[in-house]
Amino acid sequence: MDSYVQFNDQGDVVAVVKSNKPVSEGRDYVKVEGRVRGILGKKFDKQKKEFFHKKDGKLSAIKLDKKLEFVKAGKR
Amino acid sequence: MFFGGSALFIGAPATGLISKQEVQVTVPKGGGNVTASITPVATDKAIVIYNGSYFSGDTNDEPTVTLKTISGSNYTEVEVEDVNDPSYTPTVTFDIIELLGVKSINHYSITAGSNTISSVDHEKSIIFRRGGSWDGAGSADSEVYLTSNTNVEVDGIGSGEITVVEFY
Repeated sequence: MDSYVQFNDQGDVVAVVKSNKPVSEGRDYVKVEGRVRGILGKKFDKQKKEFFHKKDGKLSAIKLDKKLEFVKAGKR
Repeated sequence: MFFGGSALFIGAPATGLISKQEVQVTVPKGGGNVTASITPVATDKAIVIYNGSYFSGDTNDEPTVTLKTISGSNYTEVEVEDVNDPSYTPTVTFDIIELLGVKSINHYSITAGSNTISSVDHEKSIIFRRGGSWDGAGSADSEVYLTSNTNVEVDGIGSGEITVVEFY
């Protein structure tokens, strides 16, 4: 299964769908190869195409040892 | 003479799992809803299996999960709607599955007591909860069950959303 990570306009990760097939193209999402845990509630930066979390008041990039693919709505 | 190949069985349609996707959603603090894209699933085969939710505060309401946005014969999105809990950011986890051998799927909002539904064979039907407030006296959830082909009973207090799945 791959993970399809979705976020709101503020970049907050609000949904993670784990599926063998792609999700519908209705909104932006990030496809992460394989299963991903602990990403819900973190932030995604569309420009840098990276996930972040807040640690000690600072935003730190989350290093995922997995292949990421940012997919814009309707552009697949 | 030998005839190879698979055997042909005639009888009731087989029941089985066609597909499964696992979903985790977090709803904004203070209530609201989140809509997420899903792998498209057939409207006449797909149901939500509620795996649980994290919530607290003084409400015991569970976020409601609803398959929506029909394209052709498929649902392409799911909506999770939470009650107005001002202090928590609830997380809800569920599977969306497609089943073989489904005769009918119907969704209802029900309340305490008797609830009339479209007729099903209640011996071959199952109720799945999709959220709501089922808290009875103390911390016990209300029981929800089919009492006949056309009635769902909520034995306690509360209200919420259910899906009734009838199998062949």
